[in-house]
Amino acid sequence: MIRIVSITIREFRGIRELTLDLGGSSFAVWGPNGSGKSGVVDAIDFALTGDVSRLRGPGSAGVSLAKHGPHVHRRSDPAAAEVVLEVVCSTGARATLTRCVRTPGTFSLSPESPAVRAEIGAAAMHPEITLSRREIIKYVATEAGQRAKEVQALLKLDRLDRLRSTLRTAQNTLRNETTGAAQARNAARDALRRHLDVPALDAENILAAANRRRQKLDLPALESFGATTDLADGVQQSTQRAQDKASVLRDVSALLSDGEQRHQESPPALKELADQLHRLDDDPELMEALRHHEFWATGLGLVTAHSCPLCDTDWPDVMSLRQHIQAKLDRAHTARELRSLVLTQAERVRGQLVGLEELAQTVRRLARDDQHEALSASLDRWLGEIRTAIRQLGSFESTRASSDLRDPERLTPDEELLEELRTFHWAVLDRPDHSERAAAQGFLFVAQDRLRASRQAAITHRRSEKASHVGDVVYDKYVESVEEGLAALYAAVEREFSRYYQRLNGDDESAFKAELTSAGNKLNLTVDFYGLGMFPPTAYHSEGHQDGMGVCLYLALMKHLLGHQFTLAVLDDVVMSVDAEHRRNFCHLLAEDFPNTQFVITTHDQVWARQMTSAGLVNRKNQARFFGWSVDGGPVVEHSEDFWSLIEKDLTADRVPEAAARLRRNLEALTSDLADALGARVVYKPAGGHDFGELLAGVQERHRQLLKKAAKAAETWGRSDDQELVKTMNDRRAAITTELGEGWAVNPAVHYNAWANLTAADFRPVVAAFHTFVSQFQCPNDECGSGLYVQPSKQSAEILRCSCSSVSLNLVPKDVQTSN
Amino acid sequence: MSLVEQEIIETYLAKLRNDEDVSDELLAGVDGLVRGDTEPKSPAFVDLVRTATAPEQL
Repeated sequence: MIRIVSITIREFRGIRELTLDLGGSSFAVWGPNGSGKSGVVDAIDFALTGDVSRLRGPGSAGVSLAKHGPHVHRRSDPAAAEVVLEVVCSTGARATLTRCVRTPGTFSLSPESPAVRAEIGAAAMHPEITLSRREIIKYVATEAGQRAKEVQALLKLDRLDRLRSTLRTAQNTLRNETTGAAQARNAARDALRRHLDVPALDAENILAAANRRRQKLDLPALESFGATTDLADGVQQSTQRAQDKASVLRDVSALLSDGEQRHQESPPALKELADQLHRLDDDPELMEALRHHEFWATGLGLVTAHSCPLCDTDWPDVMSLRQHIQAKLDRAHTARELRSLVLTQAERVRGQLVGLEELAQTVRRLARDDQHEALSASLDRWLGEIRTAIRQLGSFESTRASSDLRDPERLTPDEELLEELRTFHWAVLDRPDHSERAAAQGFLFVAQDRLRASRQAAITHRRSEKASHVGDVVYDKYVESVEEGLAALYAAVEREFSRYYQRLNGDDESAFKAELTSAGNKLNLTVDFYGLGMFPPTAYHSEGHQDGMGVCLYLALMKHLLGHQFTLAVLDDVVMSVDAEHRRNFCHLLAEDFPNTQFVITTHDQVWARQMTSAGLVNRKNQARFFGWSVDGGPVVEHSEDFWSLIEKDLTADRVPEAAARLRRNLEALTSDLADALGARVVYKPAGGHDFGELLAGVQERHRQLLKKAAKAAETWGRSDDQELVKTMNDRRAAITTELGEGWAVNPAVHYNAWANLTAADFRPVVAAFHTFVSQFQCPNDECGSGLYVQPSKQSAEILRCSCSSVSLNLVPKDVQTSN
Repeated sequence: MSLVEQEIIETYLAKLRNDEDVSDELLAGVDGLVRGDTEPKSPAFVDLVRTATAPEQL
């Protein structure tokens, strides 16, 4: 993914015109609240995605990019509002992206580069690279169901969920087909059993029924029954088949009996189904509950305050609002149970109707063969109604939409049809009996026809069963893979998250651990609280700790989402509740664990801005200080330079008092950071406010002790390279002390009270001396230049290091470490 | 397709490959559907399963 080389913002949000040179490296934007810093975040967000996330979501009703993206003075001129980003992609190709509020959906690229365009497209797919405090907290202080959704959205798992749903639908379709095929098979078997007039369809019964007729035709008895057995084998084919009178009577009687029973009383299953459908009709809220189940479940997770997240209506308190939504959810559960009952009942009714259809179809064919046209036509109409009902029973939606299924008598044959069936029954009874041979011949032909149909229905059923089984495999393996994949992912995220948080709070929570467990559609997060147990993150940890957790979880997730493509993140005042010491650890975490990521960080805290530099996260020149924002002019921005260069500019312009004040301010800040980073001892003052001399003495002494410890440790471990590095650093320290003299820096003769009265020529050597002096506390690698610091920061120091690891000196001797 | 999704799909296809009920034809079809440019619809899976369930296996 891309990195940002520079950004130019014109007439956008609170900024009139501004250019920042980031150089593809991490960059700090700092200044007080309301100084326009977030305009930079919005501009990057807009340039990459064509949208501004801050203008969406809760509390942004009536706000839009088109209306509120341009500067307030140019609100009717969206063409004037644009952001230009110079970017470099992973191949090193550079291009300039220009996006205008008037046409936010498109951007121009110069020179046109498919590689850069593809990487900008990838960045646009990840709006989460821009992170505010409001967004980090949703990973921590939220309900488990909502956390699962947020994390899934961040990890782009929604497509996985849609695919699961698609495979589930396919699985259900194949299962429904199997159910239908089983019902058709049963109907075909019933028709055969009825014709053979046997109590059960087994080989013995089938052979006995067939062989009785074969004997009358002087045909050899069938001795075994198999998949290819032909019951009518050897029967002479004739153009006119005699109907077996008894079999016809059994078919007609069966249909007549079913019809008469329906006439007397509707089948219980059909009545029950109708009752359930009426229950749904009588309570429209049940269907509404069914439709809105997901919506309410999501809504419940979004309730974190007493105002409704959807309509902003205020409730007396958050509990009342949650109870209101929970009541709706409970109603939805009742509706889902009723839906399940409807589906079960619909399947039963459908099975019965498939059997009835087969029987009515057989009788209609017999009636037509016998030229009972009126009965044939009546049966045709009834069959139409039965088939419609079978179709309607195929899904919950079509079952619910059917008015016919609400009337159990709708599928009852009318009296006229029953009378026609009775007439046909009598007509069959009145038929002269065929000769025994003709009757046997007819019986065997029909038996073979129904056996063939039964076999075909069985094959169709087995094929459906096989397809359904494979459909289950395709679905189950997918669900299994997703569950395993997510479990592994969450375990890895859990480890990374814990490790990052330990780095952030190593002073007092070095044994911190977190558990991220997925249960259904929920993602539970519990965290250790000082070894006293695992609790929700909001249970005991402070707001600052929760902020730290949010950022650490975000970083762990991004690492797994983007891997080596995690090259850009914009962090908008994300750790404002974290105290100064832990923010310094945060700087080290970002610099050391994410060396390939360009962080653009805004903060209102000058101390943190300074820590970013001293920790090597941000180069001294990669800072912009915002102040003095006005509606007409936008922010006043001071592009930070190395303060030594600024002092030299002051001296060149003969502004000695300004140079002196700048040197004093920066030296105090620098030594304050060094004292903190090295764990220097200074005299305690209840109100703080140590001056430069007090801090420097502590820093010098601590630096000397640390080098001594490092030398000793390196010797016990036999680390010649460390010994050499310590020697170099010690030599440098000694040379500076010799050159300037012990206590030089705090000598009243060179003290800053007198500096303002010096000439530029007299002051330059003082500046140069201090420049040389402080360099001993910094990484000797000019590319890094970060201040030295110890780890862990509060307990006994174990390592003296810099951000680039050019300095990474063990402070613990071998005998001590091994005895531990 | 995200990294996470890619890994899960790879695992999924490997599981299908090792399942004796899944034919080569079905595996190739599922592979094409889940890694295609457009999101597959359920009828495509139903048709695939139907056609890839060979009658001789019955």
